[in-house]
Amino acid sequence: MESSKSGEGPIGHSPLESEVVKYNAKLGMVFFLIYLAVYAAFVLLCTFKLDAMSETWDGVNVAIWYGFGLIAAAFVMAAAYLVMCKR
Amino acid sequence: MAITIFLFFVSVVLGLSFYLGRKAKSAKGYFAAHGEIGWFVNGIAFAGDYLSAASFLGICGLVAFYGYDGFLYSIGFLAGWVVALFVIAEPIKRLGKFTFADALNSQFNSRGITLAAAFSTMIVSIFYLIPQMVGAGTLLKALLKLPEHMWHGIDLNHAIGVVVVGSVVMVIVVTAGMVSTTWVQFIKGSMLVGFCAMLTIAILARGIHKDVSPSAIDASTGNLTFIGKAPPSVRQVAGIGQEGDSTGSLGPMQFIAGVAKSDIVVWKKDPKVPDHWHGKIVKGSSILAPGEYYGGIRSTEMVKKLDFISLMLALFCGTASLPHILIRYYTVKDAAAARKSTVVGIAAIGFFYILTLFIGLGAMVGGNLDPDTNLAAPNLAQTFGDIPFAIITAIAFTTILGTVSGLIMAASGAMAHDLIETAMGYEMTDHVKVRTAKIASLGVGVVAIVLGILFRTFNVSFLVAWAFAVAASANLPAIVMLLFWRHTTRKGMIASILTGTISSVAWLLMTSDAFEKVYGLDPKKAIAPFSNPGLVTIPLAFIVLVVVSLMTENRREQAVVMERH
Repeated sequence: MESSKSGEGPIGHSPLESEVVKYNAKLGMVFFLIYLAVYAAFVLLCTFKLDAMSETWDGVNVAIWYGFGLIAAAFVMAAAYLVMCKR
Repeated sequence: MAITIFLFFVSVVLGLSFYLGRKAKSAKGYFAAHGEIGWFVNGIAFAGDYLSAASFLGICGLVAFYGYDGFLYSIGFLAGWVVALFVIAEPIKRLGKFTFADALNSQFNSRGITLAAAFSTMIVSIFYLIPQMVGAGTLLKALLKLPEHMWHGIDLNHAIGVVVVGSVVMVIVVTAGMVSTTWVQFIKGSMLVGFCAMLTIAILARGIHKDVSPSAIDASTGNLTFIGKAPPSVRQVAGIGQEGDSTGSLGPMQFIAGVAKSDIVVWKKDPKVPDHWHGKIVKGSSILAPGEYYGGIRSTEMVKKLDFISLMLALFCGTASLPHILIRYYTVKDAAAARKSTVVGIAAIGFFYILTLFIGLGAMVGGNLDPDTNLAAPNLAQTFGDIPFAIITAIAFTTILGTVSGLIMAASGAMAHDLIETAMGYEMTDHVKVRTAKIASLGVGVVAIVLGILFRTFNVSFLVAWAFAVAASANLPAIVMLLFWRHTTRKGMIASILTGTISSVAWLLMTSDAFEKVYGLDPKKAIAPFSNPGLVTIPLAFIVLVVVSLMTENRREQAVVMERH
């Protein structure tokens, strides 16, 4: 791994140079941005639309369903990422 | 009986530690488990490492007392793994050898970065150690049924538990290193998730029962009063909607719906009249909505909502920034294995966090809730008998052993490898490096014990959220910008790490919680406007990195680097 001797200046991105690594990194970023949007929506709804989070479905409120959904989504996306990553 | 089962568990863990520790002779073996731990074992070990006293005791306690707001911690802690897996996991595996500071320094070979990263690793590790030690003292005190015994503001019985766990962990770490720590985490993770699943099934099978004594209700006023040392439980069920006095066994979503229909009595001690408690009825539907603890969510004032937003940001950003999690990426042989490990870890952790909601609600309606929020899960287990109580206390204690040993490893690695050898330029043989790390482990352990005694009144999840805020402020900007921004410079990274660490710690020391519970001062005089600093200190560290990098960029070298690529 090359390193800058003087310690100043921008770093090179040699770890991400190969095609496989670039593809995996882009795929990871897409998944991350999707999850970030869903998580941010959860936080904003709790902050500004609390009534909506208190609505119930089958006796359980939206806040709890959403929380379960976020937990499940993390696993589903992780599994999808594992399948779709190039080795 | 409870103590026997407890001692059996601890003996097995220690025995395993000594047996496997004989393999960890070299520095590489001591720090990074020879790079050969299988991905499935490592994934469950991720879960074991991550599911600390905070997750188990703290979240269940917050759910038992405050309902949905405790579950927010579960959501946030788990969501942070998304950042770890999708953004950090793969690139960072290629960057480092032993420690987090190695990863940050892979491009610059800078003593300044090594020093700054070692500093942040030690601070974050200590903040994360505090709740573990608090939990340890609480557990042992409950197991031995010791009352509070105050001496100059210190509960001596709690302090004994803290000293015991600190000593046991130091023995593990000094004798064994990462190999046995990984196996301790694997065993701990498996036991924790498995037993909590069984406990949840028992909760659902029992259902919800009305348990407020009619004698507590004043017929003329409807007020609830209890006269005595403490009510049987600080949360009780006054009614279950149309269900009568008992629901019978319930499915998972029926159980949640049942709590939502219930009227929950919240008992509070009268501050002026001794042995007097007043009960207030709160609708279950209100407890299961956000805002019972983070009351600012229900306020119309924006400033009051900021604490909640800051908490969720710190939790989301904190996981990927924890040095004792990052170091585990190096214990598998390649990036693909690191990815698989993280997926396995997320599955185990996600399942566990769903269980925490049921365990917490089960403790709320279980009829045996102690005023100490950290004891909700053991209190619940006790309603099913002494054996479940002993097992859960032993598992929680083993949980703490595993997490504390991992944290002490991270901190001692920072000192021995990063601070002394790299930053100070003092070269050590492998043997000397391992010995130095072990001495550092003892020092960190002593500090953790002292702080665990001082912070005993805090809920442990709350303290971990503080550690997450410090980690996210100190480490995340540096990692992310190193990986994704070409103009990151050495000085930018150093400035960012130091700014994030110092600003977040300073903020925490100025919160109303610190004023009230640590310094004994009036919390209204606190300087920080809200509790969790993440909303301020994480962006601050990013901004400092960008500004300092742009100011210190060497354009001649940039041209050379860009031409080379």
